[in-house]
Amino acid sequence: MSDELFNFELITPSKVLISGSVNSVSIQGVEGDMTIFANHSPIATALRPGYLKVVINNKSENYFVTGGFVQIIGDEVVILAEKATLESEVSLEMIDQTINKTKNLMENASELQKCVLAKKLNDLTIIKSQL
Amino acid sequence: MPNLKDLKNRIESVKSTRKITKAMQMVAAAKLRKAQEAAEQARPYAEKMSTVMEKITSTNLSSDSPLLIGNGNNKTHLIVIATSERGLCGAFNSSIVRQAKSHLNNLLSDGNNIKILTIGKKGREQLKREFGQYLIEHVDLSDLKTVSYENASNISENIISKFFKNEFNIATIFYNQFESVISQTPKASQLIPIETKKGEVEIQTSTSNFLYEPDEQEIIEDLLPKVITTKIFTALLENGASEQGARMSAMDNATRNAGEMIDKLTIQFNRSRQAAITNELIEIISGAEAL
Repeated sequence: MSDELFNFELITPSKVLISGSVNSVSIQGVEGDMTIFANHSPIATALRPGYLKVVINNKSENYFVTGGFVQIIGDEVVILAEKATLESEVSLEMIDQTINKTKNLMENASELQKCVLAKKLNDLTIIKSQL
Repeated sequence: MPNLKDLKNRIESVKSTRKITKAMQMVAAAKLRKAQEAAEQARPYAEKMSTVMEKITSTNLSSDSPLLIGNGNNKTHLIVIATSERGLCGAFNSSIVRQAKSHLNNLLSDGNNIKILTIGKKGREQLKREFGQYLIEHVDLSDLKTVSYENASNISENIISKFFKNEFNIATIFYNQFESVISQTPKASQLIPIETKKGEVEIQTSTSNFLYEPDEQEIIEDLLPKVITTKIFTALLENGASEQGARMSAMDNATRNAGEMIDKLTIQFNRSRQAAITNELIEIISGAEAL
């Protein structure tokens, strides 16, 4: 484990949740989970609904996101999440709401989008069953 | 010449009007602060979103998503007009509607079809008479205290699904950009197809070896609706701040005017009272002299 820090931002439409130096960030991307340390190669990936673990000053914080987007350029890691809450504040209601919304979206989406949404729905159901 | 009692009543009524406008001004000032804060907190997301978009579109020029390149036609325009739910905010609503109307007339005279979606009932009321037949939908936000991202995403999903049903080709949103308490400028911004700054962005060396997970196509497909939602969300927040700003300055003016009116009426009241007293005195003196 490296001790190097890097700049990390967790941004939602209503608020900047985290902005500062962190040790590492673990994310659940659509193509697999990964943990980001300093000097990661440039990458852009979509997030699936799930948890992300941010280690700040060797203390970890867990957030739940309903989906989003990660971009890593040089020393800057940015996560754009539509909705992010602390893991302790996640409720069954909230997940149900997201599931319903995703189902509504699927009704008139294009083929490619339907594919993405179906994956999302699956992830959400798994998370729901784990609660 | 109105009699004294009438004048007194009028002064009282203007005074209570002033109290109301003063109170509204203070409420608007408090709400303005909140609205500005909300607009500021949403800014980083919008900024990052647009830089991400620029990065991707600058490397991947071959995307054929209809949201980016249009659906092959530009005859039918969807005009989204965002106004306020409440009145008493000066020229706020009429300035948006005026600009939208001139845009609509231009489109009509060029032989385009138009459809109008209104957000906020004040704009709808103003457009009903002239463009009533084009109004297709209305979004009611009157129950909300603050606009959330959810609201914006509901609106954008609605618009996007209409786009994929080929109900329109180009969507533009009209709203007021907040500049300061005394100045808000009506602005139009194109939602679909998404305008990108192709060619303007220098392709940096770091973006050429950018990894995409999954592939660019899917990421773009995922991002585009979000970009539209973000645009609508920003527009709604700007509009919210502008509305409160406009209301604050309108109510400030009204309060000042009421004060002036009270001064004038008070002078008039005092004069007529004095005239009445003088009259009475003359009557008494001339009566005494006659004796």
